[in-house]
Amino acid sequence: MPFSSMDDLVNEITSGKFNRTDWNKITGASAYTAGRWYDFSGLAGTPVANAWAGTALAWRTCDETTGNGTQIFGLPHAGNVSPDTKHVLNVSAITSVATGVPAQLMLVDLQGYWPGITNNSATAQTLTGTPTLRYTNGAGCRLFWVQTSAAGATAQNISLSYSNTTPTSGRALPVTVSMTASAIAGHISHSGTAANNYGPFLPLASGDTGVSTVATVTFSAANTGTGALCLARPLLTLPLTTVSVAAERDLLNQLPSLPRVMDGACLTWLYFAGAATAANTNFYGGVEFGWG
Amino acid sequence: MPFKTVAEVAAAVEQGRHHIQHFIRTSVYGSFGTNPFSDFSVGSGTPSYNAYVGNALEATQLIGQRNNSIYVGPGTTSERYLLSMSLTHGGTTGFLASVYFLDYLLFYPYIDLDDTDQQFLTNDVTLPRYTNGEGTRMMMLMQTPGTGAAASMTVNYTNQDGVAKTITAAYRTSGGIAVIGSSVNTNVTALGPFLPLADGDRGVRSVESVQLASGVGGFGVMVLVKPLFTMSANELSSTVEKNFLREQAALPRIYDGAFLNYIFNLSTNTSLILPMVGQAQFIWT
Repeated sequence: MPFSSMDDLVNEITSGKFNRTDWNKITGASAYTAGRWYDFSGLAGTPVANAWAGTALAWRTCDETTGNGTQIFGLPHAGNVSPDTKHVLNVSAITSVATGVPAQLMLVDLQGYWPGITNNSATAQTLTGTPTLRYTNGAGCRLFWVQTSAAGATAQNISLSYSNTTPTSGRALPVTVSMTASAIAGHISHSGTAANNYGPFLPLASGDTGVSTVATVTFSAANTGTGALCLARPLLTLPLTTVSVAAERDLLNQLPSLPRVMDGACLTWLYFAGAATAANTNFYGGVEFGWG
Repeated sequence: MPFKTVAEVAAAVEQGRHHIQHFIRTSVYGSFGTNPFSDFSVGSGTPSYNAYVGNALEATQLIGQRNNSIYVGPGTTSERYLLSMSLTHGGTTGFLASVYFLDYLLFYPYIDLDDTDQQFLTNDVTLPRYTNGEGTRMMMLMQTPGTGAAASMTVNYTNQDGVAKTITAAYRTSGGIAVIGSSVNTNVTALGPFLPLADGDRGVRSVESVQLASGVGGFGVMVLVKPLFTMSANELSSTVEKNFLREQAALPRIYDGAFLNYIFNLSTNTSLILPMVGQAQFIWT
């Protein structure tokens, strides 16, 4: 049952239906480039880094309690609460490195991914497995490619054949989407400021509102490197404007939305670098949940 | 017994089931690098200075009593919550700070940061609150001045499920006491104020041992804390205020015996941020 009133919210959270989780991440040895999006799930910190476990090209479901089956890398949020519904109440984040701002963090529920997709191919790579999603037919779920080992210097475009939420198969990206040559690990490598870059999510065909599965991935030219194609539901964004000053957002009063967190949600952060972000930049903060 | 309605929250104030507590810090210690966190429980003012006094390497509980931490009001068997908080950055210049308010639970004093042997910590007492360790975090800070050197540190702890775990993190000492070494940015693995947790962990019940890869000088104190909320003091000489019902959609629960204080970001210009002045309003059912 959702919150029915402010009274109900007060009653539920003071009855113990409340959880706070504190997280921290550090960006690692490579600097980030302004205007690009990056995946934070693969970074060291708490929760631990996602090492993209799984069989190449085979769907790997992610959830709160088992992660990807090898690393439990999602933010913990106190487990399943059905028939109650759980919501994000408050989020905060801080960086104490000057080049960590301006920036934006996006909290997503990572449904899963197809790992081990090589950039070194110019033919269609067939993905296997049927995603089990927390949103019916992938409603609102979006795709992004995370470079899991650095890409080579060859320019390449990406194209897909996916199923939308109907679900209708054979859907294609509506525009040319360019990957970033020499993208580092962690880069959502179709995002950036170059021509035909889109981020953080791959664009959808006309009228589509989500993705339920993907059949094939094809690159226009062979390059080196490996990546994972991820399917996630975006939940909220949090702008960071000032070094060392906590970015805080109240999702009830300040920006009324109370994003719902589904049972089993695998919560991870995506990061938009508004400035060139130095190596080893740290971020930390908290997320508060309530349910009722 | 929880609050059932907004009206009951308001009634708590109207009926006198509340306490307003002022607190102030007028000193902060030592010199610091860029933007690490420091522990403001260590400092002059109100509440009193927390010196982390205890037997070396022995777990020592932190129980809020009278003025040893931010006083939360008279004893009660009902449930207590934090309704509002304000914080004023009283200095004329210096760095703009963020703070984490914490319930300090337990500490292990006088960890020798020159000792590269495994230092075993004694756990004759357990967490006084959040007893299963769910949501609690480790932070280690300087108890005496160090050299500024850094070392890798291996920590063996027991997680929220009672399972033994190990993590490795960088720790940089400081010439200033109270500086939290894991937050110093010149560490390439500086993750912020709290030490990282192992795969799947959500909290810490106890710490069993600490071992440094090299001697770095000084003594450290390992503290187990429960983070409650963050707050930004983002303008000089102005007050930031937070009402947890209207502006944060969650009233932090304050358990009996809570030892409340806070940690905050520092700059190299530390003395000029002072004084830091705050006010907290607690209510109970």
